[in-house]
Amino acid sequence: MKSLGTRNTWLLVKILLLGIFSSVLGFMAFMALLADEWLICLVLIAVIILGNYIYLSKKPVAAKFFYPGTIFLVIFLVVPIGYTGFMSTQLFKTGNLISKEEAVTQLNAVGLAPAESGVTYDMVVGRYEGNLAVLLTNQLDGTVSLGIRNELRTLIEGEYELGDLGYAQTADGFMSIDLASEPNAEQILSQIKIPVGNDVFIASQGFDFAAEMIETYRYDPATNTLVDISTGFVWVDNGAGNFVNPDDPEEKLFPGWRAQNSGQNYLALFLDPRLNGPFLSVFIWTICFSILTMITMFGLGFLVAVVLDKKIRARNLYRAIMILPYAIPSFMSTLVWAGMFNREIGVFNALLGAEIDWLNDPWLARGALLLVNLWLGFPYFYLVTTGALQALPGELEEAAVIDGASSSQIFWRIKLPLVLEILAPLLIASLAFNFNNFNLVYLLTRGGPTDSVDGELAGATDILITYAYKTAFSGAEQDFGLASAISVIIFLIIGALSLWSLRQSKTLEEQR
Amino acid sequence: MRKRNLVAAAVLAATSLLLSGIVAAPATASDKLIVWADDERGKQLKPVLDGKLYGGKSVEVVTFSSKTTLDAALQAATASNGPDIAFTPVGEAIIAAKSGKALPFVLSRASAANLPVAAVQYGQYKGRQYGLPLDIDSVAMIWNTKFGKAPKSLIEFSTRFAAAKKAKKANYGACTSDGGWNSVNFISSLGGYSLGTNANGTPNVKDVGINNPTFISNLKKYALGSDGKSNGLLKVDYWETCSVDWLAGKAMAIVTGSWRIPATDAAKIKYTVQPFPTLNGTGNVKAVAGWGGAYITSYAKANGKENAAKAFMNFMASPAGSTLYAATVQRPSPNSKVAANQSKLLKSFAQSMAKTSVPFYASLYNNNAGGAAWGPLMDDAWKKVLVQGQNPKTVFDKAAVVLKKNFAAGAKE
Repeated sequence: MKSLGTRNTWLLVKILLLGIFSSVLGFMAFMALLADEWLICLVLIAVIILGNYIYLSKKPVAAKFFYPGTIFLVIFLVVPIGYTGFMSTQLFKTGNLISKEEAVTQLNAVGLAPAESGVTYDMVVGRYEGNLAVLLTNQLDGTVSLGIRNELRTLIEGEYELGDLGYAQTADGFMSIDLASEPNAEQILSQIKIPVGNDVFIASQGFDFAAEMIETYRYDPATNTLVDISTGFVWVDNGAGNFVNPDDPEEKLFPGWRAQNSGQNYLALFLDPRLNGPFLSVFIWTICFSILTMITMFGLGFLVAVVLDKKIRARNLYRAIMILPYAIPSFMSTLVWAGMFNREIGVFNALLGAEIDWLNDPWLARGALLLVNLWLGFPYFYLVTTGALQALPGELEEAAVIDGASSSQIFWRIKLPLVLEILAPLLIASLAFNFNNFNLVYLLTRGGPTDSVDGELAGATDILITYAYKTAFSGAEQDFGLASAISVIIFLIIGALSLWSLRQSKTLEEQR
Repeated sequence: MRKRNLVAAAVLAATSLLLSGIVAAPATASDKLIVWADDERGKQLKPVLDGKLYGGKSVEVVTFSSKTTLDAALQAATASNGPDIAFTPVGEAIIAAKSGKALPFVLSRASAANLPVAAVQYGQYKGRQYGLPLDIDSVAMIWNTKFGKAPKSLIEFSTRFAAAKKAKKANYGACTSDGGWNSVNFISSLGGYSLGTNANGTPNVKDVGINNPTFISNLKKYALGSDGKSNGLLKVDYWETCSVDWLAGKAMAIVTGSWRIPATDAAKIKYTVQPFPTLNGTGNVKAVAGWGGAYITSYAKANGKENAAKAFMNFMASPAGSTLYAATVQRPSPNSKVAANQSKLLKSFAQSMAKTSVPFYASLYNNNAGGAAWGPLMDDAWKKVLVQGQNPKTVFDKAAVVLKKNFAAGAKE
């Protein structure tokens, strides 16, 4: 009986958890539905149904364990990768961020422009003889008019009364509407369109303000063109996200819209002379940076580990000191280093009595980056190589000594190859990590120095990920499509490295 | 039977919780007028605007932890979660307009009459008004009165700096402290200009004057030493570096905005605020001017709040709204009627701006078709000349090429 009670308690806990799970996701699905995101809504509903099925039935035991991980894998890995891949095939940049439908709506809104007269009115909305009407006070000359349907009737003194704010509030036969408490206020205001001649009309510009407006652009869905009403000029859809001047396709109307560009982002990276130069130099530096970082960090870490592997006085103290750089948050260390490298207020120049522009010279900046990364990363390799050295069988060294091997031979021919074999997957992981070491580069040099005077787009220390970030997010003009293409390339390289790493690990396992 | 009941209970519980979520949803699909602002303006505006009614909609100010998070949120916003109004630098309204994320509005003649023409133009894109300028983000020269009265000309400044440097009282003359974007002050004082103007006042995108012979010659004569590097009179850098000498009283002036006043006051530096001097002391230098303000997002229209949002903007543009805003954010107001009642210090910035400002045409200056936009380009050019000692003519000739490409591309948009 007690056992049944306990079981029921757990069952109730499960029900409660499933209830929370379902309600949270259900809420999200509902919000997605409100936002017209049907696909997301359907996926969320599928996740709810599947989750409830898996945890309420007894059969799918394995799925009970895999389900959460699989869902997170899909949400945080598969979807972002898929979405980035999709975005890399799109024209998706400043000026081309919204859908075509939204762009046409916006262009129509922009097409409704203030008339040349520049006349604006204080406005009171109401009814006159049962019809929607507006009482208008011209802000320029104070003339008061009554606008009803398609007619603007000038009122004379005595036919209206001015309010405290200096404009007409009431008129004979005019009943004002309290728009503030009117649920359909926006609809009512959108109906106000009183012609005043020459295609000019009065339209509301808020609840108590109107202006003389003129329609300048009009979208023609039949021909998919945008017509300039005043001149008759026709802007055509270029099929690549903008209405353009047919005589000069470079002259575009904004906003444009997001459009498929069939791999143009990738082609631009390799073929556009404005982009391929910087991309190639960034690519080369990324590889050099990753390899040099890996070699230097491993080299110093291994050296320190070998030295401290010997029984020397205060060894534990040295070991603790060696781990310190690893214990301090890397972003703090990086900022401290950036301050120390500052040309004017940095400690290095103060100590040297020099004015070396460490972070504004391409080669010095690259050197600084490698040095700081070495400082931040060698303790990790010191730790893992210490472990690897301690795992080596002592008999090997003893046998080598008996066979007359020197210390140098033991180091180069026994310890180093064996440690390298053990740490090969970690070295590859380090290579992959540094390929994407955004924090260090951005905090220390921001990818610079960049010779923008010479038209350079990328900085001397930019790696692919910082270049992608700059392309997507920094500056006023952003290109998310191009940045996505760079991200996909990074993904492919890292993916290939990881696969290679996995195969290496498998080979090592098989060898053992 | 018991098990079936429990399963039914589970389904019931899940369904009821699900329904509770759906019931809660309409409350979050806001009927309010949502206003987004950064940590500074958001905190200031929330107490005075929250709950106020504009066009029948109650205002809710959403404050972001920083300008960066506000920018990120605006980038990711959609009609279902975006704001109706955004408080940002007015130039950003232009970028939003280009991408179809801002809605044009009509500025009444009465409101426009109280604003400088440059400020109104600053908020326009393709002839339509998107941004409403509410505070001045432009710069003036803040002069440390420890070095006497502010110089009347750059020539006088140069002489006095040389003496102060020799006496080891000053390490530099004037520093821009917000980077190269506002170095137009220096360029203008030395006889150059960033962007030419047509007879009708519109920008002439083919006319770039950062490399004209007068400017190069004066730059060499007054700002460079015998080694071809800066003699210390002019410094184009950022606050982190400029502030070290400025706050220590070892710099004669900084060229910046009212936002550096609190730090300056805290360092107990006595100062005056005035325009950067011209070479001979006649006329006024030119300085690109920036304004902070607000714009209506396209989401206001998508969510049926277009007129309510316009009502909010009409209020903010009115004397009552501008006064409320200026009293709240304590920055110099571009509205002449409001500025008249501001503190002497804030007035000084407004007066300096009125004398010197030329519009910072965002679509031109922020364009980077040539490689880099105006700000980073000037950072780099000045660094090459003042720090690395490169030939100024070569450097500014190259920079002019980049700038012409930017302006030509910007003019087409």
